[in-house]
Amino acid sequence: MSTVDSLSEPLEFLQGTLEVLILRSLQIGPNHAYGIAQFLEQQSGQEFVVDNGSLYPALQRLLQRKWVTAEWKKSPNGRRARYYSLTAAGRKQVVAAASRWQRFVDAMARVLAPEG
Amino acid sequence: MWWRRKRSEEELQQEMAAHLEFEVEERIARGMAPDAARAAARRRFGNATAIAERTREVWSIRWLEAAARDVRYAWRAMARRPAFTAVAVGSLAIALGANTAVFAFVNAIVLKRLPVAGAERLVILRQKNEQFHMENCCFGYPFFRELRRARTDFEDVLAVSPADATMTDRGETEKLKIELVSGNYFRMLGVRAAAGRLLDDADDAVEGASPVCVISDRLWQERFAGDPGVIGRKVLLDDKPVQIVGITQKGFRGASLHNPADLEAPTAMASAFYGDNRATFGFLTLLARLKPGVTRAQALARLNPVAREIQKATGWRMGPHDDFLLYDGSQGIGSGAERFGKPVLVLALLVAVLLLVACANLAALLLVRSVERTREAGMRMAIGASRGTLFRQFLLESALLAVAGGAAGWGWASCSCGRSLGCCRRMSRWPRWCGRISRCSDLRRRPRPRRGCCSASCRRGGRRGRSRWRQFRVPHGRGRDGARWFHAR
Repeated sequence: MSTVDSLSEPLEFLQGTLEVLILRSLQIGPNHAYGIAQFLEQQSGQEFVVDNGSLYPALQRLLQRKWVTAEWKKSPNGRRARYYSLTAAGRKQVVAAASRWQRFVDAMARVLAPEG
Repeated sequence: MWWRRKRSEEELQQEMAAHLEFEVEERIARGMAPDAARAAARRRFGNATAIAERTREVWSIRWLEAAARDVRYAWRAMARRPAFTAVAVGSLAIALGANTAVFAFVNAIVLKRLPVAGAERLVILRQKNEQFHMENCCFGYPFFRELRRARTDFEDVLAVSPADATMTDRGETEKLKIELVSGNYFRMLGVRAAAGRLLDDADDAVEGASPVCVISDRLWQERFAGDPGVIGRKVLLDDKPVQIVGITQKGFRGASLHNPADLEAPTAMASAFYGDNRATFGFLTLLARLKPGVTRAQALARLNPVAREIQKATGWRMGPHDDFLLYDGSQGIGSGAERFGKPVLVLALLVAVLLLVACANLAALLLVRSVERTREAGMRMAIGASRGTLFRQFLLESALLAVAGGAAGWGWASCSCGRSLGCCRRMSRWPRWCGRISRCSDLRRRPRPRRGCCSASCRRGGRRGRSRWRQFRVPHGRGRDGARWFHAR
């Protein structure tokens, strides 16, 4: 069991990755903080566990850069929640950031890959 | 801005509360018991206070960055127009500097109080003198003794007589301002001893029986280097041996705010300084503390018949209409507010008007400048600056001008008082110095100073003459011809 535990230990976010992932999650449509966290956990196959202490400041930074906007809306189950959605600048940012990260990941993989 | 900040704060709290509810609902939907679900959701959510704290940091950093940018911009705008900036800062500096300097005088002369317990209730007792058109400032010891026993609206009354004396210690002499004080003096003023003991009623009971004195902390530090062995030492005070028995608490310099003294001896030693027994002449200024809630007028109404009765009984001759008077004693005896208060306040009013003129001037300048800058403002709005941003930047430029003007004014005020560090000390010395000048001129202007019973003291010319002349105050320049050394008997 212990080996399984250590394998299932969640990954930490690298500096700057969380903001890109939030933008990516909002490409699908507006979402609230809880929904964003759920999305990231599910999409990463539970590898990422989103810490709210990072999520909320990241959302504020995105708001300040005007990459997302926020408004209060009713959720499908009738609860009022603050929904974040991408702005035009934010949409451009996702594309740019995604390609940058893809290059980064490829480069990392090439270096880390066993020779031969 | 704080109101925007408050709204963000509320939104954050609501958002986090909603988030927590989502977590709870999800766990209940998975079949957990409500209580357990809530507890688990809390654990998963994390420390809400810490999360809010980290979120707020993001806001603060942004605010600081914006403020720093605006200050830089305002600085550049000021540097671009050096002439305008110099005129604005200069006129503000002159007006603010003048106000600062004059306020220092107002504070030192009018606002400050004697640093003793209940100073605001202290009153000085004087008496009209119809015959000489003067006010008598001083009373004899028997009058004081009986007044303390009488039923009045005073909590207590103390007697003090300022004088000058020469202290000789191990061959070195020093001129000192001293006070002869009644036995209850220190108790009534609530002064404590820094070392040794202070004077009490026993010291002042019998004429000449107790040749002791206490010295101020300042004299102890500067003359005796804080040596505790000074207590019990005998020094010569005007050639009479006197024993130092204690040191008063730090900061206490006698019962007069503007004529600080460094040594207190009991009134029972009066003959050593004045040559006469203390019962025979009027040399004591009486400082009384009103009972709480009693006005000066009430106290005076009650005092007059009682005090006149005492005067009759103690053989002090005064006319039938010579009423007693009570003056504000919150600055102790010999207050600068009495003599310089009005001129200083007029001066303060004048410089306040100067400030107003400078402000109006600057407002006009800024108005002209803002008209000049409409093009700039239009340009910046066109490239995306919001109305609020522009407003903030213009406001900040004005604020920067004001701060620069204030700083320059403060520097100027300090310089105009001499070295900036010596400023406060000079301020406190000024009224004394002025007082000395005008006292001397009073003496000179008296037409017949060398006649009658004052001749002896005037010929000596020095300390004793002065302290005796102070026994009468000459109001409004009247009755100078009649001014004459007045003796109790």
